[in-house]
Amino acid sequence: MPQVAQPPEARPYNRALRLTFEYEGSNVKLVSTQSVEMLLPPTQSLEGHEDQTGFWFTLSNAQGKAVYRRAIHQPIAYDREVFSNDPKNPSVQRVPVDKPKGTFVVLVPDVQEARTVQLFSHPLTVAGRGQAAREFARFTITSEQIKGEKK
Amino acid sequence: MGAGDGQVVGTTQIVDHGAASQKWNLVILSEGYKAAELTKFHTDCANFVATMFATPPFDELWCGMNVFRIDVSSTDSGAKDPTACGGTGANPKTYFDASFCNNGIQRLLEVNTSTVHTVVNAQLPQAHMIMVVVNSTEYGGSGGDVATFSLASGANEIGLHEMGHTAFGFADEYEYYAGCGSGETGHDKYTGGEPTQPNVTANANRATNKWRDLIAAATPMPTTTNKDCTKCDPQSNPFSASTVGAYEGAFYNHCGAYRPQFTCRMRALGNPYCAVCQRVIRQTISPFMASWTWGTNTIGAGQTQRWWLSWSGYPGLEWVGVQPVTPGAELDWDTPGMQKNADGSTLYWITVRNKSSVTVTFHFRGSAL
Repeated sequence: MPQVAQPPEARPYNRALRLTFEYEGSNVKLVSTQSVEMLLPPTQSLEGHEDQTGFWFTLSNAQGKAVYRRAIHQPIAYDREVFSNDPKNPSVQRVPVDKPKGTFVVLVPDVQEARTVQLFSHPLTVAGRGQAAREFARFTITSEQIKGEKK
Repeated sequence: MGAGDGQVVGTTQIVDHGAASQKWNLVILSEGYKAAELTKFHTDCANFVATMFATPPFDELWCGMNVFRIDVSSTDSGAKDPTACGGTGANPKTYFDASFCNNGIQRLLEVNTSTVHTVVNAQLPQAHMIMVVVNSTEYGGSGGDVATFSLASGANEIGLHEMGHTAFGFADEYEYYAGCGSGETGHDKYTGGEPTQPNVTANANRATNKWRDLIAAATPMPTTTNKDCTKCDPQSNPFSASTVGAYEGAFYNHCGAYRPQFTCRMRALGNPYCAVCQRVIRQTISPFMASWTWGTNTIGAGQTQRWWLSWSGYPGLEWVGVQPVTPGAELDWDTPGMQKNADGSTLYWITVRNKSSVTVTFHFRGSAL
């Protein structure tokens, strides 16, 4: 009986959109979109995350079907990690932040048929960690927004 | 203040395994170095790169990675060190506005990440991971989208821990929020959903745990339990350091969440990445290698089996071969067959024979055309 090999790690995409976001609290703005010739890691599994907690982003096509997904560490800093080299303290711990504000970057494949990026997260508070992630921001990217796009 | 307090001098590729468009790229920027001190930054960068190269599994993935250094000079040296946190009161003018004492915590050393991204977007937009080295010997650092750390002894561990978060999506494996002795409440037992991160879980069921393929049959599940969920588990590791299982206490909770090994760099600085984290790092960076492992399989003693694989990835695939993992294994295999399908995908097949008297684990290796 022939066996099917384990699914391969797909060869990475060869062009990416570098999306720079700014956030203040849970308000997220897309401030820059660059098209860049670069490889991206393959997508992670696209389905089966409905009840999971954490942060991830997806890239969806015109039919609303996700074609790329990566989970990343929570980029919206409602708490911060603090480090220590003092043996009396833990080497790492967390502290809450009152007014989260900052910038983060997301890399998605630059494929013309898929230009909607969705951000998913559990509620953006320390207490919200553990609750199911929900879409909290969506950006449809037009060609006019993209710097450096290969025509 | 900020970008007016220095200038971007230039970008240098210090680990060169190919074009930035073809490799996984780490970018390291200088902060708080005056122009005359940039040579020191070059040395500091080289020291971090040496540390990283000595850190498994980056050593075996090295050919898939590039490292770039972006020299940014500042008007003054160091970082702001407010007296409010017991600092010296130093207030240097630096390009990325590095400062200790963020959020009232002396060791929380942060930079203006918006300015960092502006520089990286202009200098090396192919960056997959960004770090900033701050020219101060006082211990400090921070994470998030940009890993920041000082030159104090051991601070480069912050970079490796934060790279685990930012580049590979790891969760924290420590079992507290503020600290085991902090008297914290609200972190006794995790009752939330399954974390999407690969290295923590709420599921200690052997049959469904997400890293179950790495757990030996003899390892109990859960592997350890915390008898008093009001505090961190004080027990030492009852198993060997390399045993993978489900150790209770992770993801900021004393109970109810599990980590794969007793310790890991994502639990406490200065430890190796655990086996689960190492596997994810390999899965992420291997596709940037000239050839990589696309699957791991087993074949019984004396058996002959054929495997099929449909490939639709970019741009095309070339079989490199079969690589035994089990020591002493004797395998042979036919030249792989290949057929183009109407949908543009390619079907490959390969027959493998195990001439050993034991079950053999092996990798399929491939490379991009």
